[in-house]
Amino acid sequence: MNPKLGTTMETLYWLINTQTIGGLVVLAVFGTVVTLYFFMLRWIVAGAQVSDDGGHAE
Amino acid sequence: MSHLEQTVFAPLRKSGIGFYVLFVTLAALVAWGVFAYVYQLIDGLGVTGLSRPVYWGIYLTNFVFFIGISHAGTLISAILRVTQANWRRPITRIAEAVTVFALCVGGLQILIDLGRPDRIFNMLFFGRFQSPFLWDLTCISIYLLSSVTYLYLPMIPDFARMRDKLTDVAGWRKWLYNLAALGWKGTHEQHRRLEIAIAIMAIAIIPIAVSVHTVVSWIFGMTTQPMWHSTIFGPYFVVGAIFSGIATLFIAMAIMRKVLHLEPWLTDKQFNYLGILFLVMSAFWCYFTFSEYLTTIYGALTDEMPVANAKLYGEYNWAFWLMVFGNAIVPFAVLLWRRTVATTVFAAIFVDIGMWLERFTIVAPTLTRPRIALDIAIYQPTWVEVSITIGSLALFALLFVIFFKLFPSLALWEVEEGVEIEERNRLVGKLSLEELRAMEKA
Repeated sequence: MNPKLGTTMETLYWLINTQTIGGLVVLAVFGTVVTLYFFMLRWIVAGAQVSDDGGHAE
Repeated sequence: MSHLEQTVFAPLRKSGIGFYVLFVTLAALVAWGVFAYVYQLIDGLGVTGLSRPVYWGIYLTNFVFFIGISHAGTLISAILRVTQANWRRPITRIAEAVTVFALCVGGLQILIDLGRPDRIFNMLFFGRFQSPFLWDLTCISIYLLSSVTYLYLPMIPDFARMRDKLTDVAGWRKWLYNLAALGWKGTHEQHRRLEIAIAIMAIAIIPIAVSVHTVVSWIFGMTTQPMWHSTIFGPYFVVGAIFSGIATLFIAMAIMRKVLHLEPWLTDKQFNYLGILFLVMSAFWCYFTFSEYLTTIYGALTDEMPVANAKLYGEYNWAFWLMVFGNAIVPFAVLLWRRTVATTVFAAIFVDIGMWLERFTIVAPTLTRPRIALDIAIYQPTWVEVSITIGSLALFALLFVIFFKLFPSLALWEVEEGVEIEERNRLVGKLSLEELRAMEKA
């Protein structure tokens, strides 16, 4: 370990400079966004099951 | 059916000879571009004008240009939605479609620029987050996904309307509308949830859009190439993107208005108000460009002056001064006094050309005069690059044509809602508060 950098900085340096980690970050961010949008659409569709007075539609 | 529905559904129902001629022409240009690309793929990048040290040329120019014009779509639609500008309603669908297709074609330019397109996967397998290319990949992919979602969400009620009313279209289209409608019933709760989702997307997509063109600028700015390593490239590119995006939007709006008879909804008001924003962006662009060149020339660094001279007096001076004419002189000369359909489209054409030239004068001159001790390089695009560029523009237009052949050109429920709001506002001045409340209850 470089004595001039703390553990946090070393870890950050490793994260930014290690190959493949970058690709995994891209996939993780993209996957998270896809999941969020999917659940958002599901929530909108589920609105049809809620009657206008707040209960569940028949 | 209302007049709005009849007008908007008419092109979805039948196609005239003009549509087929346009489709075949655009498809032929795209096919020519594909042929040129296959030729490049087989023979290698040596068939282009690219070489050491000019590694980037027209393809990167196209990439930055298309990513740039994608900004107006989402940014205009999102910002005007957040600020509740009612006049935006008829233009949001066109704007959002411009965004999605510009992003698709822009992203394609990177694949075209790679001599080996399969190496795009190296970005994932071996990418280090230190690289601006990976920031680019992250931001652009999220922006594309978000833009598609932001285009799709307001279309859901329109898909339901088409599912219910367009019963005379082909079976596969009925199936598509039914699938895309996601079982929309139009209940009060569904509308409430949809509007919340659209509002959240509108707010979220603004910083995403700003981040996209900022990181696109950083693939230049983070290098130490002369006249690329500039601290203002981030905001400069964002401003330029919005500027060129509005220009493209003007052209798309004018064509759609004429061809699809949308004059009652795409009125002079939209062109006037957007024209004012257009002038503001031109002013910002002029400010950033002046700042960039003044700083460079005043500093007179030995490796930057040859690049600046190439643009101002050298072999790229035609592109530079045409850029200044198109982006700074024409908008103010034409639009300061009157902003009509004709004047805005006239200015927009010059701005789109000017902004493409701006990207070109950023990319090429710097690489012809690198920091390392080499003779001045020459970059001469070949027929392959020109053909692929024309094919890319044709692809953008073709995607647009196909999209608006299948889906409505105006967001029907949003435009109807806007008419109701305007009617209500008109009555507010005429009716008392009690009369208004009684109307609301009824």
